[in-house]
Amino acid sequence: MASIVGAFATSHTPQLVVQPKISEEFTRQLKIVHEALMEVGKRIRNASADTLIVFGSDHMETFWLNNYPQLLLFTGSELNGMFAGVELKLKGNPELGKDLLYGLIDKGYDASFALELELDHPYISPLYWILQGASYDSYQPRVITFHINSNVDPRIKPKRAYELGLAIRDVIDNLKHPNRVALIATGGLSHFVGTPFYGKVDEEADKFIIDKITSGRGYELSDLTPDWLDEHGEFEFRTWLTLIGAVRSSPAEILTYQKTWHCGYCVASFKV
Amino acid sequence: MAILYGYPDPRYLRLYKLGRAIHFDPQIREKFRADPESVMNQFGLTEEEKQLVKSADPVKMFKAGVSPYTIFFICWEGYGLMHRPIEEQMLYKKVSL
Repeated sequence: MASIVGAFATSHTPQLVVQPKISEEFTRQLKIVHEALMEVGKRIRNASADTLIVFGSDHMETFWLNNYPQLLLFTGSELNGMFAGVELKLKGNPELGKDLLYGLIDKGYDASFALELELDHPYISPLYWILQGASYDSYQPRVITFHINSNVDPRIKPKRAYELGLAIRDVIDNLKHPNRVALIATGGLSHFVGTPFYGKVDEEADKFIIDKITSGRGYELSDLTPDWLDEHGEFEFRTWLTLIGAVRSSPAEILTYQKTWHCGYCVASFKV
Repeated sequence: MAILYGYPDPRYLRLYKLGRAIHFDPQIREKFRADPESVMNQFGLTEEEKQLVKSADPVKMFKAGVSPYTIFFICWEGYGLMHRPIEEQMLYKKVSL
């Protein structure tokens, strides 16, 4: 059977890659986040993960309003993306992806699938740094992305996102493939992109979440309401909830938390 | 506070297409910066939509019901707000809702 050998969660802002030179303090904070993401890469490599399953959420970029999915699993062989001058060309894991898709359908999660995808910043921003930390030139894990709609209403409910993670874990535990899988959730923490609240960061809400996940009580966060998530800028926490379900609320170590002027950047490593 | 990231208002589909093009296509982005009127015409924007875009005002767009991601594409990426001083970007300190 496959095994989960690593589990991480991270912010994914465009600024991680664009790196606008707008303040020395922000540049310093971004550097700390970059270093934490590269540490994730080192841990993934040290754990000999052969496949990364990345939970992210599109922002009307990869997907368009002619067909906007709630859940979409990449099951193809080659995965590409370009954002802010950064281009990633990754290999998929079609065998594992297909079995995960069928396993989830059997469990009542009617995910869509794609054999081709063009990734955007929710995946490229963190993976760019994570893969650098993993020395991607000499170690190339395969990548399966999993879109969990957190950004465009109607969105998956927090409880459902968490339960999806539980189901994913059950499927992985029963896969015939002997893969070593690392999970990565991207998004958050508190921010208010594109709204009149941009620049507000609800540090108290971030600390509330961090306290729960570090103490192994992440499951309690599945009771958060969609309204609470939007009100506190935590709407992308849905992807983290899926990961928390998949690791059965194991405690997290915070590699960094940086309250910047526009986002509470957090990189976390969960015990596996 | 109501839901912030709501169902995309179907009235603005043309505007969403413009925002996505600005995000994806460097040539459209540059053309938009140089001559926004011609790009807006290319995407068939209504006069109301043109006024919203010309305002370069994220709050005005949000209050009109435009998707926050389209607002980000047009204002932060198209008009380059992402590279402006932090004080200009911190909208919540400047507006009352």
